[in-house]
Amino acid sequence: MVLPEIFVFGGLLGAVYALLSLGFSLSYGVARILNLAHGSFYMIGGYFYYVFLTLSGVNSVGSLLLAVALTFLLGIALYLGLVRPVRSAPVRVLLITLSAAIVAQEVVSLAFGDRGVGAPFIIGGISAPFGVVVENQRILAAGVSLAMFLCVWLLIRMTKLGRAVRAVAQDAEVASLMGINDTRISVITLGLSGATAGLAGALLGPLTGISPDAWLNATVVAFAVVILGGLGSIPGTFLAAFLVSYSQIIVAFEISSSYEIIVPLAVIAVAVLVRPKGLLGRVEE
Amino acid sequence: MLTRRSGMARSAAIAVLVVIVIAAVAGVVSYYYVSTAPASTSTSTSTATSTSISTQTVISTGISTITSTSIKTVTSTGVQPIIFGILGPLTDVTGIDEKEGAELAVTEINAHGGVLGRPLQLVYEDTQEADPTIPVSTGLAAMNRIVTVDHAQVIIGGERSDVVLAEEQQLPKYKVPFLDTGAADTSLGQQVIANYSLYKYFFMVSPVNSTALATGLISYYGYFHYVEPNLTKVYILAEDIAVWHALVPVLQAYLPALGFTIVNPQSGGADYFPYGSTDFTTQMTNVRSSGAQVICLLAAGQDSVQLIQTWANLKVPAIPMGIDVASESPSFWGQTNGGAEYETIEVGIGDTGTPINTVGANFYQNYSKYYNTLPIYTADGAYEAVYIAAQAIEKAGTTNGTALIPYIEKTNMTGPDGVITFDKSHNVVYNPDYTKGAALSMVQWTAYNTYTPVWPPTVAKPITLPPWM
Repeated sequence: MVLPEIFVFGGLLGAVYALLSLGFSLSYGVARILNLAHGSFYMIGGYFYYVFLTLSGVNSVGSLLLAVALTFLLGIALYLGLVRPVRSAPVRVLLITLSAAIVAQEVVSLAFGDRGVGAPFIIGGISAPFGVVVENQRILAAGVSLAMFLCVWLLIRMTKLGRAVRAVAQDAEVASLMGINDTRISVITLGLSGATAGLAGALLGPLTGISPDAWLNATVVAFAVVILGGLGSIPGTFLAAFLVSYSQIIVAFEISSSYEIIVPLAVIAVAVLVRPKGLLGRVEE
Repeated sequence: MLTRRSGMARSAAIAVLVVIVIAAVAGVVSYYYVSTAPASTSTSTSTATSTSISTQTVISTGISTITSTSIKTVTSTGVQPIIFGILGPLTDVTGIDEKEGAELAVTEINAHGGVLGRPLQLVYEDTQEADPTIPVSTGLAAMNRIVTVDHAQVIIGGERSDVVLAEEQQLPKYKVPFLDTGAADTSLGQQVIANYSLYKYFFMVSPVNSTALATGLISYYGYFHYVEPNLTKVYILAEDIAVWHALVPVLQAYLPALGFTIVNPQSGGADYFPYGSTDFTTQMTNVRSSGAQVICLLAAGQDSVQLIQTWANLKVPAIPMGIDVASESPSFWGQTNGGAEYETIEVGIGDTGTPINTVGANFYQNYSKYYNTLPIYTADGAYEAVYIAAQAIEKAGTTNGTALIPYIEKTNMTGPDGVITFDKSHNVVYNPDYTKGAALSMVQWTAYNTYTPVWPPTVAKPITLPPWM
């Protein structure tokens, strides 16, 4: 077993998975929206970064910030334009977000072609933590992801806005009676959801390439992480992100990378069958 | 109620706004693509094709030029054009090149008066088959349209072997010659041998079949061992698809005989990765730890962009040499941010940038000039396919699909890839000598838009190893 490699690559991937899945967990935990278009923010974030950096001449940090800002706005637009009118019907929410994801894929495909694009790294070069050769961009992606995850978690735990978010998550009706604007909180939550996934896409895109169909794998991974961690549980999301990433890396190194993609799907199946509330989730009523 | 209604109205308005924005973006992008594309590369389907041929004075072949009036005059006199259908992934580089290669040939032929006094006209149907998630049925639906709606009398194209295999099954029904310019699986030709009367309509023009690709690759490895005798440790890295599963055992049998050692730690002696993979750190870490000096790469999909970029970023001390379809596109250098440098790939000898004959020189010059890029194998395949079909129609004196088959079988013409003839399986005949058959070459990426031929020895320049090796 190649322990150093598994430790390093699993850890670096887990950090990005945590950020990618955070918004998915928030949107369900707070707004009770199971957003199947979540991976689209990841994909579009990667494309925004690519467009600003390579076609518009904006520098890499500026491109990253623009990608985050625009995916934040897209998250809001998705909620106000498509989800809110059907929010009371969960199945319709699933259908409309899935439709939005497919439309986004087709629009991006029309604009940039079916094949993926690759953007330059924010930082080049390689390092060798624990003797494992790895791109500096990968370390940066993991670091920024962890920092962003921490910021969002602090926002939720420490601020007045965060308290309002948690109140809506616990009981939207009572929160509304207490004067909390449920719609405003949902708008912010979906915006944050879009921004965090968009940031993950912009950070990981240069390493993995980004293609119109990248949303699907991102959604599956986020789904697996959130189901395993417990819908709406931020600590659960964090823990599950690393469990999923380490499982994938172990399978890739010790069995075959051909089976790597099966891991998140297997996680979903096992979690739903064995522990439906997830590792740290609440019992659903 | 009033608040609720106004809220709903606002939501509806926002939804409409989002749709309008998306439509506007799509419109602007479409306009950009259409307005910047060469006149004859319309991305529209069938209805736009006659315009694409007749629009401009375009090709300066060194022989003659064509004007829009010549075709318009012919069509206005009521002469029916002969319709060739381009069937492939039209938004992908393989399909785009198929379309452009065919357009070039059609324009040249029409400039000389067409075939049997009739102009050639192209129609197009998009199979989207470059996307691995697109089902075979999409290709079949496109094939049905191109025959029954667009009335194609010859079909040119194809890319994915599974899609083309399914399309081949339809040929007994349509009885239209199908000149494959993308798929290489040998089973396509085996169908012709197994049931000639049903599948005789199928011909593989480009590339040479997977057996020939393997033969060429093994020949190159033998030559490489001669010029770099100290680089003997090979790591086989292949997409997890049928065509490579067939080819890997051949490599595993021959490479040790040539003096190489296969160092894969995997039990099967090869590392297969899923088609469409995006992260190759595991594979590159395994290559490094195996002590390999050469990566024998077999990739048909776009995943190799990330693979090669990761290889370059991590400075893995093993040179990738093999078959990499994505790397045959000039855009590969940019896609990998220059990471393609030193990668060495097998290509048709017509795609090396160093033409081997006057046909290839004309083709290469006109294609590069007209489309402002370099052709890949589907471009010269489609170019050759148009000439093959046109020649058969001219000799047969008819466009009847069944009547054309004997004449296509007797093809013996010189194209950019060498001399084109067909064997009993209707596969183009491979020969290392391009004066006797379709030949292959190995080229190394050395700069933006630049391949350097490193095999066969008649055109070879020294291979350059990465500085980190």
